[in-house]
Amino acid sequence: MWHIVLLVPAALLVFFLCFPIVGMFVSSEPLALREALGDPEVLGSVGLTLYASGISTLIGLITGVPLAYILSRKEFPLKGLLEGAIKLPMVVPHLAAGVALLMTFGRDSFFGRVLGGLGLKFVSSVPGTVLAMLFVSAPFLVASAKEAFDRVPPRMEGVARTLGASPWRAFWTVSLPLAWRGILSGCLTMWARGISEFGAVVVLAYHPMVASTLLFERLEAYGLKYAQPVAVLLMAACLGTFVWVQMAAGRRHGEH
Amino acid sequence: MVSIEGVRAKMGEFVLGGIDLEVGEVEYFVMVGPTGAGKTVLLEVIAGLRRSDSGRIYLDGREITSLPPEERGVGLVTQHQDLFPHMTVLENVMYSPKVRGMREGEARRRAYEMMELLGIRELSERKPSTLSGGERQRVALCRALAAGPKVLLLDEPLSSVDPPLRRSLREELRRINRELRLTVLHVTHDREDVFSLADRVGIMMDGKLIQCGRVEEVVMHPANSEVRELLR
Repeated sequence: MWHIVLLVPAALLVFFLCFPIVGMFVSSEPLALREALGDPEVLGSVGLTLYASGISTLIGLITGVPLAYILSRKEFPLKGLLEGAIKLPMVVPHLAAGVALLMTFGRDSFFGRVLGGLGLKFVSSVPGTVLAMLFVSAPFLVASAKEAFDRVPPRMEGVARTLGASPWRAFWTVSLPLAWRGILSGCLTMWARGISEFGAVVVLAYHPMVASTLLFERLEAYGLKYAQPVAVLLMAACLGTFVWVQMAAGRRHGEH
Repeated sequence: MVSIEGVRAKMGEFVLGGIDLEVGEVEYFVMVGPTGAGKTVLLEVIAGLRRSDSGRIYLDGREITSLPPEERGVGLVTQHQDLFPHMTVLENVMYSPKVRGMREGEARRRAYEMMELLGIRELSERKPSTLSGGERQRVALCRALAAGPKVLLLDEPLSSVDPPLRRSLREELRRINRELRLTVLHVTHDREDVFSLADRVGIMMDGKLIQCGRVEEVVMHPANSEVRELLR
C-alpha cells in the first residue's frame, strides 16, 4: 500500500514531464521535419541559439568560476547581500530583465554609447542575444560551481600549500579538478537555460532571431503545424549535445 | 629546530597564546591536550595556514613568521589525512617533488624511495578511496616526507586508526624520526602517544601551554590537577 502511495504521484509527475516532449517528437511529420531541415531560416536560428548560448556559457565560465571560488572561500562584509544580488536574475520576470538590460545597454544609455563607440552594439545584434542569455543564466553556473567548491575542504588546499604549491597551483591541481563535475553541470544548466531564453532576448535582440523567437513568430503567424518542426529540431540539437557532454564527462570520470 | 616566541592567534572567541616553545633538532615532541585546547590551531600557525596576530616563529634560526606555507619547509599530516582523491597514491606522493620543479622521472624515483621507506610501494596505483585507515595514514606521512621537510607536524595522526594498528604506526613514526633525523611536533589527546613516542611533552589547555618538559618530569610533577588527570 505504501509503495502505491509513493508510486502514483511519482508516476503522474514523470508522465507530465515526459509526455509532451516525447509526444511532440512522435507526432511530428517527417516531411515537415525534412522541410525544416532545408529551411535556412530555421537552421540559422537554431545555429545562432546554440552559438550564442555557448558563447554566453564560456563568458560565464571565465567570470563565474573565480566568483564562485571567492564566494566559497572568502569572508567579507556584505557577502550575503552580494550572494542575494547575484541570484536576482533567477527570480525577476525575464521580460523585465530584458527591459533592464535595454535600459543599461540600449543605444541611449551610458554603456550603450561607450561600447557602441568601440563598435559593440547590443540592440538587435548577436552580442545582445549573448548578453541577455548571460544575464538570465549565469547565476545557475555560479551557484553550481560554488556548491562544488564548498565540497572541497579548504584543508586540502592548505596541505597542497605545505607540499610546495602556490595558491594558484593548489587551485589548478587540487580544487579545480575536484570541483570540475559541479562546474560542468553548472555549464550545462547555464547553456540549456540560455537556449530556452525568450523574454530577455526578445526585448533586447528580436533580430537576428534565435530559435525561441522564430518559434514564437511562426506560432503566431502560421499556427502550431509550422512551429512544431522548429521546436523538434531545437530539442534534438539540445538533447544530442547534452547526451554527448554527459558521456564525455562520464568517460573522464571513469579514468580517475 | 623550531622556536616559537609569544605566538598569539585569535579566532572568534578562541584565543591561542601566547605560546613560547622550543623543539630541538631530531627531537620528538608530543603536545597533548583535550579537544578544543588549540593544538590544531598551533600547528596551522606554524605551517602558515593561519596567521598569528603577534609573536615570531623560527625554523633552524630563520624567521618564517610571515612566509607563505610553500616556503616554510614544514610538513603537515592532518587528522583527516586529506589525500587528493583524484590522484593515485603514487601521484599523491609525487605531488610535492613535481610542484617543486623536479622532472617526472626524478619525482617518480623520489616517490618510490619514500614509499619503500614506509613499505607502501604496492599501493602505488591505488586510489585513496580504496585504502584502509592505516594505509591512508602511511600514504599521508609518505607524501609529507617526500617534500623533504625540516620539521614534521602531525595532527592526531593515529586517531583514525584501529587500536591494534596504532602500535605499529607509533614504531614507524619513531623510526622515521630517527632515520631521517627529523624534528617532529605531534599533537594528540591520547596519553599513550606521550608515553610511547615523546622525548619531551607539552600540555595545552584553553589555548595556553600549561607545562612543558621531559615526560617523567611532567608525570612526577604535574603543574596542576588537570595535567595529572590528563596523563593518568
